[in-house]
Amino acid sequence: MATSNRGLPAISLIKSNTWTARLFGLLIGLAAWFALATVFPNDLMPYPYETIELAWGLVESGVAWPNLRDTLLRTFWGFIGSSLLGVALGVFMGINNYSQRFFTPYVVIGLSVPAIAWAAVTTIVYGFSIMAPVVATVLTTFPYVAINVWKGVENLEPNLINMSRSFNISRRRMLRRLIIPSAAPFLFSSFRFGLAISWKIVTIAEIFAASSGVGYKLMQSYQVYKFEEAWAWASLFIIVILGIEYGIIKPIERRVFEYRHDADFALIG
Amino acid sequence: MSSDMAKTDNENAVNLPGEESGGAASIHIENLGKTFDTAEGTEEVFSDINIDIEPGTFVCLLGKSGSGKSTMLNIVSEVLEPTEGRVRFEYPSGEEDVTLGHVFQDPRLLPWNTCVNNIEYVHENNPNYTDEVAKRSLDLVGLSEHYDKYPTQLSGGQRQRVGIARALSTDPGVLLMDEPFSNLDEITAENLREELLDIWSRLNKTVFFVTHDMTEAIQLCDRILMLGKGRIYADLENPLERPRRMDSDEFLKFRQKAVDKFHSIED
Repeated sequence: MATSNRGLPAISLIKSNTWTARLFGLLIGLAAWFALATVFPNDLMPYPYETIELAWGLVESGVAWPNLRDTLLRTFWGFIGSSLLGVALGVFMGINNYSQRFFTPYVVIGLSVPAIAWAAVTTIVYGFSIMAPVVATVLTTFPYVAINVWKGVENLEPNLINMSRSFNISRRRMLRRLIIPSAAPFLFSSFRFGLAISWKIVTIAEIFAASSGVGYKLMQSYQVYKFEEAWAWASLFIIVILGIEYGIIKPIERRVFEYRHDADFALIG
Repeated sequence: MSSDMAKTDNENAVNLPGEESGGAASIHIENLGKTFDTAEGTEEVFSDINIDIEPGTFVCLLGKSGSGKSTMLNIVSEVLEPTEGRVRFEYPSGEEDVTLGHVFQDPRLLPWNTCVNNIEYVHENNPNYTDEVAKRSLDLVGLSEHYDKYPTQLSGGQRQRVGIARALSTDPGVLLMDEPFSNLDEITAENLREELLDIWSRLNKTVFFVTHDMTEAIQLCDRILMLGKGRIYADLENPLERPRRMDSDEFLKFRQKAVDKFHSIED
């Protein structure tokens, strides 16, 4: 179109390339961090390069990996548990009115209970076992997954169900070939959301109920007023989460939504 | 035949899915009635409908919007239960377990499946299914180049062809079609009508075709059933020889007669 050709070349480049757009977004974020670091005291908010330097020091000293591994493991199991429970409930609620009425109060209650309450309760029940953060994560996250999946299944095109019935397709085949693929965009959205929540809940739970992990180290740093170290731990985990997003979730998503037209896919890519 | 689909079939002599089948089945609609419960009470859509359709016939059910033709097709398709009466299908051999093929107004394809996989989807209970069945059906409708394409990569006409291929792949004794060309532009629709007639003439299938378009009905059908005010008020045999030219005097004359009959229900 004539209008796009008249735009500034730099703006066109940013708009046209997905990776350039991501990089541009990150640079803006770093610039904002830099600007804030000039305003706040250095021990409260260090500059980005100081944080990265400190984080690298944690990696080099060998402290980072065992704690990151523990948190990741707890996040992984919490995420798996909440996804399984959330997807199962969401599908049932989407395809069956009785299930929807039966489970809605549980989902609403689950949404309203603060994560910190579950963290406290599971710590009392499970002590310092891995179960405390994992169960707290499952209980906090599953309602968000269930609601997303429920809405995704409800969004299913009724004509496709009628077509399937006309050809005598079994409910099992419909679930596998029609309902779940139809809800896939919502599933991905809920998985991404679930993963993000899971790691936050695990971190909170680790403050209460763990002797390792990023949450535990954050608390330790806070107790000895090493705020810059807290920033370094948070940065390390952000890098890991970004790695999971762009290294695992995005490629899977791209493969699953291969059927979408390129132009259409660009909207979610 | 000017279409791509016809060229593909004629030139490559495609092995058609129905070649070794029992062929066409007859349809027997007996004392059929349907009512719906509404807030105002019970509403009758139609009652006491009796129709016998011979195997291999191309029959159109014509009616205005709201006349109940889709309801009747849904009952014939076994998607809706009738309030009274029944619908029977029967092969000439006496076998009553007849496979029905469905073609809808919109193609109703799974967007995340390729053309081949869309056809494979409806073969859940067919132990003999291989992708060759799907490919032969796609060949039949001129989509040999599009086996692995997704519906979003096809035009509206091509998507409807996949819908027709899917129905034919099940080797149906009766093909049920619900205004399959009404969402297409006229040129595409016209091509598809010719191609459908070509397939029908070679596959020997009974077709039950719902439409509100008189010209389409006359072009396609051997017999036109007009539904209105809860009954079949006209049952016309189409006297025109095939192929039918829409600008011929005979076509226009019969069309006028059918139109007069169609509007007679309001007199």
